[in-house]
Amino acid sequence: MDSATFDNLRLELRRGCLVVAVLAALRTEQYGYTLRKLLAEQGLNVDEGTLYPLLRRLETQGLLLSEWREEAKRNKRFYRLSDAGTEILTHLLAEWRSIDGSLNAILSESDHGHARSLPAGR
Amino acid sequence: MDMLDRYLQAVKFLLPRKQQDDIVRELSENLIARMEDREEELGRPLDEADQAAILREHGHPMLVAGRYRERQHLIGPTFFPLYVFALKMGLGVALLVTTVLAVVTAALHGDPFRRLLEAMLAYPGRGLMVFAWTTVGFALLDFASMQVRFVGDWDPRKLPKVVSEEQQIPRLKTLCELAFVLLSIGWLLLLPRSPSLILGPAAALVEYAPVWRFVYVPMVLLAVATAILHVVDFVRPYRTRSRELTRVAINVASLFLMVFLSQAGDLFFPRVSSALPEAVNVPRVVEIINAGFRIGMAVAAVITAIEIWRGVRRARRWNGAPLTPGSAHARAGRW
Repeated sequence: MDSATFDNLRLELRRGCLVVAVLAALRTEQYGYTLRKLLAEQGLNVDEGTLYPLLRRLETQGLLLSEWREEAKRNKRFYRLSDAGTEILTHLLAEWRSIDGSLNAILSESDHGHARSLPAGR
Repeated sequence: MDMLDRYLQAVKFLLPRKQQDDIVRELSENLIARMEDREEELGRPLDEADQAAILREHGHPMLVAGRYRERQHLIGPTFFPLYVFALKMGLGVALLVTTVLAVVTAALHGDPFRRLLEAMLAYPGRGLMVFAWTTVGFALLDFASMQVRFVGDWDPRKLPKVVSEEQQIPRLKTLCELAFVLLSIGWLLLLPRSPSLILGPAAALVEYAPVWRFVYVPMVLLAVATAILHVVDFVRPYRTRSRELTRVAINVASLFLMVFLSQAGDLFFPRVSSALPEAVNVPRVVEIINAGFRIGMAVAAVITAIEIWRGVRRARRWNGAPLTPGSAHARAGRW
């Protein structure tokens, strides 16, 4: 397998999922570093160079709200989902479940087809 | 934290100006939090190598700053194929113009090798200008399209008709023909003042017959019409009935001029001049030139007549019937 091709396709696949994961995670307020840690704990490792600009972009699009606040004697920028973000997340999750369902149906159909095409006794 | 400060400074330099301080402040807090976590894991303060490892993992300053920019490309995927096409066309036309200018300059001032070399040396500069302006133009187009999103609003019913393989005109062929016609126009324009371009050294002995005055302007106009037709062929590289008929009309007019010239008697007369060399048999030279022109004219007339016949045949076969969906592509084996 060409690993560069796999890496590119994996990156494309993860890119869309990452936005959904970030919006979902920010139903609870987080700042950049803790959000990254939270995603990593759930098995979604994200580069800081990707995550932090993404937060800014989502905020510009009105999907996140942010504010500077002091925590543990440090000023940090906390992000949380806006009303518009909540609505978009609902639609994105519906879309995600629909894609997941379709993909599972395609996979189970092709598995059945594969089993049917196998010679008897195998 | 000297290394962190240096890192943040490098990132800041490339960030969008309005957001510089805010982004750097946020990055700084996130990186400090990460470094503190790492210190906790290791149970000791971080040394230079530990800090460097964290910053390296965070990303090169240029890459990190670049990701904060809203616009990360000059020409996006929507316009890129069109941009490459325009660039190829522009560079091709620049080469053509350079070559034509070199030939015309050489014809006017002589020393063809030097003129050609000068033109070739000038080409990279012209090419660079074409590249720069095409890129700037498409970058602006891309930017404008992002504002108005006009690419999203299109009507499939307004797409051009399907062109079968038989109707296609190869662009390279058109470009070669255009180059030839442009050279011919340049040559024609130079002929009145430089008869040596058609007669060579014999220009000192003979002069044009008055009949040329009647045919010269129509000849130039026909050549210009042919050049325009080739430009249209290049931009829309497929045959149409109207263009086919225009081509036939140009060829018929050219044939008419040839017939008119062949009926007009001698095309060149001995030059009335006292400086003619005595050793040269001028009447014989004029006779040979006229005979040569008559033969050339006859050959050109036959070729033009064949072209007319082919053009009429193509135009008559034209049915203009729409192709069945996908048939043209299926025939070309592209699907």
